[in-house]
Amino acid sequence: MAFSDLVQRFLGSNGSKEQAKHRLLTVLVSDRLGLSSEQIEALRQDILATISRHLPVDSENIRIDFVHENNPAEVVINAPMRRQPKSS
Amino acid sequence: MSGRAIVMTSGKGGVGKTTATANIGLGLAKHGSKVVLIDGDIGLRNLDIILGLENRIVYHLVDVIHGRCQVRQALVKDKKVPELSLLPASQIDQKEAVNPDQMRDLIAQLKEDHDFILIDCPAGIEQGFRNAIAGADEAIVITTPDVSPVRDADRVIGLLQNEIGEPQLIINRMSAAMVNRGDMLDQQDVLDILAVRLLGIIPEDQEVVIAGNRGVPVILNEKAESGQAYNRIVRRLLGEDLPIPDLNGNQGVMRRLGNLIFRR
Repeated sequence: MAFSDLVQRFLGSNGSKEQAKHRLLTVLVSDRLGLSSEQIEALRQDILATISRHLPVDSENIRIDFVHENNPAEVVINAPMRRQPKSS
Repeated sequence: MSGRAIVMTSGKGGVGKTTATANIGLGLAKHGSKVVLIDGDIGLRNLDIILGLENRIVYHLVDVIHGRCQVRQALVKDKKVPELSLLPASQIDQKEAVNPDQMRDLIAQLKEDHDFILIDCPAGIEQGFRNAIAGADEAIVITTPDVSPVRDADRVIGLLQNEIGEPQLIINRMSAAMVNRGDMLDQQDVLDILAVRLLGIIPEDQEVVIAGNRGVPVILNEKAESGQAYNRIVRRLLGEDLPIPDLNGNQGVMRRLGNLIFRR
């Protein structure tokens, strides 16, 4: 992060470019996949349901992100595990 | 000789494709390469006027493709740099007058006696785009740091990855002042979003407009910042490992801090 970004953050100033970047990253997820936002939501729900069937995950806090920083893009599933009940 | 065929594309219109094609072509020719520029925008001829060659056109791309003349009869030699020639677009035909196979054959033929073939692609992703990318070995994508050109660039990059391979990116019309106050995506933002290799950044520069008015591309103006930036892009294309200077490189930390504080 550039020094000016730090200063800006410190001063609480937020240029319009942050909005631009956020909006682009959001819209490009569906552009790139050729999926509508409803279809992406359905995919999230299916992944969530599948993982929950096999692993004791904290379903409240599962996050599914589409990361395009590398090529090819990646689906990153972030699923915190629930603490296992102690087996006696 | 077997030249490199590079398509210059963007998706969105008006971001500077034709200007970039003219400048890079002229720069490569100035460095001694034999260059031909193909105006791929059939029906909307423009590269000729940017280069100041609009009064010298006899034949055009569609004439060549349909055998109405030899390729060499249609090539318009540049007035200032004779290593550069232009194959103009037709102003009266439709995009459908040409197909990708014909473009591939034409480019293969031009490669025999040119080092570089730059194809100026029309905006959009339809037939004109298909024609323009058909014979290309490499692609350069041009965008400005605005939301719709970046979005369209992303779409085009996806198509190019399937058809040609990884394109390189030029970010055009960057304003240091707007970047400094956080109101314009900077180079890192654009690269975070598009995830491709950066070939260069062209600063916003009034000299580009003046150059267009005169029909003398800005790369020939050694004092213009944009001309210098185009020149660095040319040297990178020729294989030099030149760093890409930060747009704000000439601004010290204190000055940037001052800008931030006094603007508020």
